[in-house]
Amino acid sequence: MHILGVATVLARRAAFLALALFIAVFLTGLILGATGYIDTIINSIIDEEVRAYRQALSSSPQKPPPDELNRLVEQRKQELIAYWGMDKPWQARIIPMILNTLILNLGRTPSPEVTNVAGLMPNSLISDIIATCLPRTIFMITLAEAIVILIALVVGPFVVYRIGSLIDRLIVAYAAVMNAFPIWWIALVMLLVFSYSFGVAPRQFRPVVTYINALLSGDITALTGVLNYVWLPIITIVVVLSGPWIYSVRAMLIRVVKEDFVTAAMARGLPEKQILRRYIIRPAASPIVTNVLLGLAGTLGGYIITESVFDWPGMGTLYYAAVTSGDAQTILALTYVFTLVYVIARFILEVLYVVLDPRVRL
Amino acid sequence: MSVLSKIYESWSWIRKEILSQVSGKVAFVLLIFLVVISVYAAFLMPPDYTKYWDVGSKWVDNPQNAPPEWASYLGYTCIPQTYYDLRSLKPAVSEASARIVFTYNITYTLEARDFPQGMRLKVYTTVPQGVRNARIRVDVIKPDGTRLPAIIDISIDLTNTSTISLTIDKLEGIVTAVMSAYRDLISVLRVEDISIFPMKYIFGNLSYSETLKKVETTPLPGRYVFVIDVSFRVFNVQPQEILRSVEKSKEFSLLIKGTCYGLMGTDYKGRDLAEGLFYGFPIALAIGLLVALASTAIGVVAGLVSGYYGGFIDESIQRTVDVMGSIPLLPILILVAQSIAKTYAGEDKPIIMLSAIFAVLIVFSWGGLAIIIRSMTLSIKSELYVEAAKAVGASNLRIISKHILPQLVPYIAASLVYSTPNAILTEAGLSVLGIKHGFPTWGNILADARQYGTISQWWWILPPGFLIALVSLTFVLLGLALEKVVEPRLRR
Repeated sequence: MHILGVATVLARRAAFLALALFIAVFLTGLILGATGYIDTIINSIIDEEVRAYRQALSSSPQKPPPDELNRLVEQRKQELIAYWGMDKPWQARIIPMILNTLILNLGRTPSPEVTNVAGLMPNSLISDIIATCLPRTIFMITLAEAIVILIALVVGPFVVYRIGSLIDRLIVAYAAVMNAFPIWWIALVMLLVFSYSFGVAPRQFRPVVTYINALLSGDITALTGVLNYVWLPIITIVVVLSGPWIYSVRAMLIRVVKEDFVTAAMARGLPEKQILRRYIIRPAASPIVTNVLLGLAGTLGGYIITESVFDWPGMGTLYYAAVTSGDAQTILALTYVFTLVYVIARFILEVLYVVLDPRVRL
Repeated sequence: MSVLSKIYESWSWIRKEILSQVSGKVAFVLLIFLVVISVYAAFLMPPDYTKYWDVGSKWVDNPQNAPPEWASYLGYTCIPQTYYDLRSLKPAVSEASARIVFTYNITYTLEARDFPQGMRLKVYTTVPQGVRNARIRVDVIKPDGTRLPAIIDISIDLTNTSTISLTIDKLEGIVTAVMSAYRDLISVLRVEDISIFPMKYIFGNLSYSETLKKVETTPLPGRYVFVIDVSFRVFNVQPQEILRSVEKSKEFSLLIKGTCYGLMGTDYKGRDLAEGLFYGFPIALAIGLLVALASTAIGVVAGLVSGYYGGFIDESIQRTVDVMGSIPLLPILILVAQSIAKTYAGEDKPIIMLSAIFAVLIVFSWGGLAIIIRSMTLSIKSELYVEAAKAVGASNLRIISKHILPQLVPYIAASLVYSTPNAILTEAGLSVLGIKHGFPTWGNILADARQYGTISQWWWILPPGFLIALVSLTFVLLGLALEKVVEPRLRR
């Protein structure tokens, strides 16, 4: 009976999360189509090709007469229009693309900017491009976030017994200040200081690609090369995000610490560590796990702006390149992947809630 | 009335609570500072500020990419902007062959070992009837005694008009002047170098470098004299008359552009960053509050409706929040902004782009508050006094506004405060990314710095970020103080 109930709840959640996934991809397609963005992009591609074709024809040795030339150019234009599907309304082009994306048939990218971020050949498979860029984001942003979480999980419980002490106040003040500064701006300052003033960090971060590729193919010695590039971005993220993270872990713990059963445990004179383990961690676990999991899942999409500041060729830069070059296929694919990761994380959480919180099972 | 007074009561309680905390006090001081500056800037803001900032005619006089004047303490060689108002100076008057000549001797002292960025002579005046022709000629005498003759020599025909309107920043005569002053170097001087960098040849020491096989210029500090001859060919006009009209002219000035400027320096167009940052205050606060108010209002209404009425409405609002919470906001924002940037070409593009960005932000950011409001409404709704009110026949509207809403005020205030920096940060983030809307916000200044500047131009990059952070710090601190009001357990 209970198992069945839990299964129904989970199935319902799964259905809604899947709906969210569909809506995210459809919404993206709608924005691309309804604003006329993809049409603008495709039209400029067609115009460019037609212009090049006319140029080629009129500079060739067997230059056709003007009427014939115009006819050939017009014919080429019509071919291109048919090829790109511009003779159909945008809905007719976008909807198949969306459906293909949803069945993970991501296709190839026509955009050189996008393949350039990954460092692959033009017209590569979008799945290959994502597979190339994802490790770079993991090496920088996910790693940094993991460090931040570790710090928060150590420092949070430490200060929760010392609420109001000097160290606690300092941490709250630090969290407030760091909450106010956007990461990308601190990143700019870090670049200014470490790369340009002191010259101890690299100015260009793209070359990290070589080392990451080597590392992925099993060459452990490339690790120092990766570290050489990655330390500044990681420190930046850790410096900025630690404050808010410690603060939120602290806040989640405080809610539990103020509960009567903790006070009772303290009154019985139990040691701090034991109270923490037995009475605090368990009730505070589910919001903390939520934050950790969603935080880590969120990093896989890359921090678009921060990656752009460091010119770090990860998922964020990839998405931005897809958006600026108007590559609908890649934009849809990435939106799908970003949302999918998030939705999966949410679903894992739903399952974990059942495991962690016996009340849900009742 | 009683609802308002209840809300007011609630507000004064909140205020007392906030001011009893350190973070609250700091936030309050910062907030007052922001509001005062914003109101002041909003009053002074030129009409059509977007255009003023973008194509303002006054920027051409400023040095470009110039650090602030106080940068000299940081080791920058700073040449200040030097402006001479020639109207107030008494010229030497002489007459020769039907011409009246006014001679101004202007001394300029170059102290730093650097070249000024440029010079500009501006004349806007009306001369008396009978002046047929005017001629302006400028010579420079260098500290070493070298005289560059006629770096400016311009003649204005005044037979049909009596107005002179001139801005000279290109020194047409510089090549000939340098060639004639340095006859010994004439075979190695390069015309292009002189016309591209005239300042190096006016304010520099010239020497031929055997190794580089070209003329080298090094800054030559010292006393320079600019001899400005203004001569008029006249018919029946007294010198005094012309002098009076010159003194009354709208503009008659010589400007030696510096390499440092003002309090905050300039950007690549020579725009005064102090001005841009100053007028950015009201813009930042306005967009922050606007978006926060809108999303908070939607969140409150949705939460109240959801919690109070329940049933199908509740379910659909909850699921909508759920679905929207799973959609990645920043990618959607970037996509919307970029799509509009590429497809819309109207005059009002900055406003349209900003509105679209904010619309997306509002649509995606009311969910969190709606859920809190819903759960609070649910618990208040089941209180006995609400049931009593219902039993007496109070309408839903009355119950919501009299019993429920006043209790939610602290939460609403906290949400409002926390979400205010959102729009400012998002707008700035998108600008930094390179999606430019063109509206002169702090983010826009940062975007220009990223696009047209180098990262070492700290006076261009750091201040806008600091101000953005200052505004958000104000609201974060205020939020921290409010948080203790709404969550008493956080108190010691």
